[in-house]
Amino acid sequence: MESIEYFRPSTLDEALYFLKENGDRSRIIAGGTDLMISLREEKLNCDFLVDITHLDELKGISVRDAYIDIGPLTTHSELSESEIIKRDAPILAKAALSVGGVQIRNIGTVGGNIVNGSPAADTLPPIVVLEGVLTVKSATKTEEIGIENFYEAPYKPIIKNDEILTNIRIKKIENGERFLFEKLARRVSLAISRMSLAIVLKANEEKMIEKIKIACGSVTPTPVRIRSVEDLLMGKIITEDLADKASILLGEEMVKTTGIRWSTAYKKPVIGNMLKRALFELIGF
Amino acid sequence: MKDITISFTLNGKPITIDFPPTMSLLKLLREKLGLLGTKEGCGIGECGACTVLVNGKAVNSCMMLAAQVEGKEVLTIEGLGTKENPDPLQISFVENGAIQCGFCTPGMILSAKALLDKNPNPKREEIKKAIEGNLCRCTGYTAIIEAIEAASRKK
Repeated sequence: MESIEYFRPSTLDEALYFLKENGDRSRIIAGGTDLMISLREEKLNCDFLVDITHLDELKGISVRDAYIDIGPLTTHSELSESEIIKRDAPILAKAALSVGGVQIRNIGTVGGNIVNGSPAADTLPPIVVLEGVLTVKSATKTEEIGIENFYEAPYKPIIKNDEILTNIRIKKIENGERFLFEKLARRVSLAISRMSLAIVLKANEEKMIEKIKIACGSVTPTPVRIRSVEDLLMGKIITEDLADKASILLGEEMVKTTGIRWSTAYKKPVIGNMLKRALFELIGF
Repeated sequence: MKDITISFTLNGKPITIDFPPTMSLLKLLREKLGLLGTKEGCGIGECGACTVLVNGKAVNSCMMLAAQVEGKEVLTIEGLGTKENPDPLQISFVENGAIQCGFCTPGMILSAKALLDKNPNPKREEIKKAIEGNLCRCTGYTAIIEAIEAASRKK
């Protein structure tokens, strides 16, 4: 702690080369809203702080065909204000706007949110339902990893210490897709999510579900789609009875993956009801 | 710990300074530069008392390394106005009784400044959203929101 040195690479390549030599003794700062807390608590065990916050190569948002590329150093403010994100991935804009307060959103980055890997990270459920693919680079290779395969446990992404997350690719919301992001917290502002829910679905005029993707925050240890619930709903006409079954199943899935906790008595029915309400808002029954 | 040297613009004046690399912007301002207007409340990005503007954007100075402001413009409450020549927001906070203990005030005013610079005629809801990261335990916020509304009308 006392002997931490600060390194500010001027290019991504320079950063990757530095990490190749010193990755195991380095921590990357990509905004700092999580890292500064570790630093304050003197829990930052490293010799080098590698500050990549200023690297323009890792910023910016662009559209390619049905996909959006997001630079990991895009701040939550930039994400929530981006015309592209507001138009083509509004659930991600809404999630980004729900992070912290203005001051946090102006510093914290989406890449930091991803690599920190908190189960409560607000941008993760939308990125999961938009089928996010992460590009990870080291000095010697480039890899693409689906967001659902990016974590082995909460706060434990599989990214190695000589690698940097360099791109986030998500699918645009397609024509005819309905979507929703809902976050439940102890208060309206500046709140860590107690639970969040992201859904993208397609339904026909008979209210039959033709496509559905569901992911939750603070419900599963790592961000994944809830496929059992998706399978239950897929190809069926939405009725209140089916929505009830789906909401019970979602609660059971949460208990199956995270176990019984002090909060289960509250969270199990409430996450189910969030899903039921979402289905009602999106399709109606 | 080897000191690092950075240059930035502080309240309109260029400055070059040495400090330990793990120093937060908040500590640099208060402890190295003696600018005590910026307050430390929680130290973990939840209260907004340490709010300053970096390139016109409100940030928690406790959540940034001082090193990250290299080449940037930093505005603290000391740079906003003086006793003789206060900023319209400062006048408005006084006139509307938007200050009680005063601890949140510098951060609150800078959050409001960032808002009004971007959006000179904000709606009440926009004001609330802009100060959502600033906690005040005295006023109940109403007087603060009214002070910001009044300042926006004057501009």
